[in-house]
Amino acid sequence: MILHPTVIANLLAAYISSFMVLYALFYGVQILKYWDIENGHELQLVLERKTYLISTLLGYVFGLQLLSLFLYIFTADSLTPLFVGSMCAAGTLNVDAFGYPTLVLKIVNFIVAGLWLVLNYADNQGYDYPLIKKKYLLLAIIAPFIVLETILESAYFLSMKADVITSCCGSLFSSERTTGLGSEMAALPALTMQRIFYGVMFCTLASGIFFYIKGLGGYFYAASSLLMFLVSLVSIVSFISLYIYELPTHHCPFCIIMEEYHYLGYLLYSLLFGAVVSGIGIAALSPFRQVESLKHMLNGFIRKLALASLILYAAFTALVTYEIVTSSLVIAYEVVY
Amino acid sequence: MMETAAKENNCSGQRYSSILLWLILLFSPSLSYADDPTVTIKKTDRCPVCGMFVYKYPKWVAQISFKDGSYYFYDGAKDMFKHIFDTAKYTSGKTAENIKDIYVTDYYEVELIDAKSAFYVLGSNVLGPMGHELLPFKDQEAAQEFLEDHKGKTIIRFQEVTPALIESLDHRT
Repeated sequence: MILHPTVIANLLAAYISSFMVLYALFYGVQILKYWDIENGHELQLVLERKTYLISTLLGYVFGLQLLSLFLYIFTADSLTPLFVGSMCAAGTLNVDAFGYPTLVLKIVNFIVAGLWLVLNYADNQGYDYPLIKKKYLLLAIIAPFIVLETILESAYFLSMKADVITSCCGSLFSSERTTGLGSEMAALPALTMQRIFYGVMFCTLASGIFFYIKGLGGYFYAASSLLMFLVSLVSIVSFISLYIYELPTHHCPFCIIMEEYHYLGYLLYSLLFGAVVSGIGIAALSPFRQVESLKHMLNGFIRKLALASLILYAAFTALVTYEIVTSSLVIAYEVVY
Repeated sequence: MMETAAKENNCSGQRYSSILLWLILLFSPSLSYADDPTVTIKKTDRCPVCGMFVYKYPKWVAQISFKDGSYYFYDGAKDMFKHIFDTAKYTSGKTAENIKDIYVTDYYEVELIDAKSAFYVLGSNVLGPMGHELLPFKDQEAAQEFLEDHKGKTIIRFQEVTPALIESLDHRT
């Protein structure tokens, strides 16, 4: 293990999250089992009081969970000088077998934690705890993933050894390698990927605007926003990175978070993750539009989510387009490196 | 009076000549050493092969300058060779034939030396920013001394470096 302040911060955040989630789950299970709003039983009264504590606590824990993704990337980036061959977070995450699985889990948990926060906000607006069982069911689904993430993250940091020669992102995200998702994404033809990105983005924004104005096609927009999120991640590796680095062969999705690139990656990823969480949030809340106590606010809240998601995706596209236009790199013809 | 004026004239003449001398001194390095490697590494200079910022690893810098006046820095001789072997891939429109000068940093002296006349030690226990490297030295004695001190395996010359050898460095554990 490497005793670095950021490593300690990461592990502390992970243990706090896991402990709190398990504590909340303990009451969550009781709520799922015994919750009955019509009943004035003593246990019901205890659970009603507890739910305020737990939902407040989980609000902070999942807020921490959202931040921990960026903290994790920041940590991997700041440990770079300790490993030979590593020039950014990509190499540091590759020092043992747990770095990338933890990252994937953190991305998944970011999205589900964001969804839980959306559900929790809606639930708190109704006087009769309308979504209480749903949100604790979601908590029961999320909890194992949070715990698994903590285990993997601990394994990652604890098995780190400084004398490991790791791979540079230049080779991890290069089409020269024959295996690996990174190289496969890097090997995608950049110009074609650029067209796909703008095509899917246009459809997503169009369907979002249509939903915002007409109130129709919410599920379609939620699905497109998820698709757009995945397309954007692949696009960052395939062509967006090339324009930012102004190098025809450098596909790394992590170097963009470095100081030398003005921490641009943090902004790009924040926009993207914010957009997908609010986009999918529409699908998570839509089934409850007819719930009596939420009728007065839920449609408005869903429209706000749609607007937030649209603005974030539009800002992401604007930023990417700005980087492409101002870049000195020109991809004039299709060459795959 | 005449003497003083002459002295004053002499003084101002000296002043002008000293200013001239300063000006000559100021601009002369760029004229007389025009063929020397460009060693001023900017914070924005990156290795065209791996994208690393070169200023972070000054001891490992290598440099190629092209006939058109453009030049590139590398964070080690290994990446420099990759660029030589596949020039168009990393810098489209350029070919290896257009390369004017190639420099590597002598590991002991930490100064840029001509890459073509350097001696490269392979298989040592010294790792560069990109892992296993070719360690450049300006003469055979220094290379031999390093090889013995750092468990090196062989000493090779510029012409003996092949793409297969560079690839094997990347796959060593």
